[in-house]
Amino acid sequence: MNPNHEREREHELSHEDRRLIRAIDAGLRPAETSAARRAALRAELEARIERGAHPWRWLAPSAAALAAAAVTLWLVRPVATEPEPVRSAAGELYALSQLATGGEDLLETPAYLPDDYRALALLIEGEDAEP
Amino acid sequence: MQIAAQSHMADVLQPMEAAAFAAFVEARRERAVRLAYRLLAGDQAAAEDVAQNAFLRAHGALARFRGDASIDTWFFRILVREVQRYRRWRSLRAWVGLERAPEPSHTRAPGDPGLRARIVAALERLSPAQREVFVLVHLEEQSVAEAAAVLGKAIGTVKSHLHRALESLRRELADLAREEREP
Repeated sequence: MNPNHEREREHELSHEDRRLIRAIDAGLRPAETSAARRAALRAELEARIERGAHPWRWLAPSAAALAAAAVTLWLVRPVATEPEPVRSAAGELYALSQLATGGEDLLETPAYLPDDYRALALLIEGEDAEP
Repeated sequence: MQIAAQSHMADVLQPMEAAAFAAFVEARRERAVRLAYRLLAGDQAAAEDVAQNAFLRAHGALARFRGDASIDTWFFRILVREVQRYRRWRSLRAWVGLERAPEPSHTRAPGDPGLRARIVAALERLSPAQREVFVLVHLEEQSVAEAAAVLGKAIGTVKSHLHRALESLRRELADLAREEREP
């Protein structure tokens, strides 16, 4: 340690503080790394550096798997069906009227006309106007 | 002299030769694991993992090392960031409930387990910044300026954190300050 740092620190600390710090320093130390553990860590680090230096070795199998998955998805895709006919707004209205009247045409059903309109229709068109 | 040696090391490491990097790692492994261990609540396995990740990141970043700081300041900055990343990851996993936060593995560590648990608890009650500053300056014997450079903080901020950390530890571990204890 730099002696200047030590003087700086010692100057600011009381005897009690120094005792406290020494106790914490001594009480919180990791186990010493054994030679075997050091060798294992060194080998692991070298292997990870090697993998990082040649990422294609690891990316190639991943890319192949991705391509295979894409081909599989393309092969099992749903078969295209006939497109639904596009309806106009008038067509939609007609379909709704059919649904509401149970299939009868709303405009040709005198029963749906008010009574005075029905009387007028009888006068003009005679009995044929009545269903 | 020390700075000259560090600069020389940086020159040696620029080509990132495997032997030079291995020497760089071996020269710092014990210190890196000890610093990580103290910042990670005495978790030996996590400290080794974090130190290993820091060495890996350092290897990847060596080409970008410009020599503005000493190589030790540069490396310990990487290590402290790796510790911060690990603590965030551990908290997030515990919060989300994906798994319980792993129990610190310090069964191999020397010394009194009861005393270690008290020290760990007192350090964990500090804010992250206070803990980092206390460990770097008082346990790892860095100067305030070096700790400020490692943490990317102003010297005044480091002094303020140091003062508050010591105040808190005096309260929590008053008995250790009164009587000398053997490790």
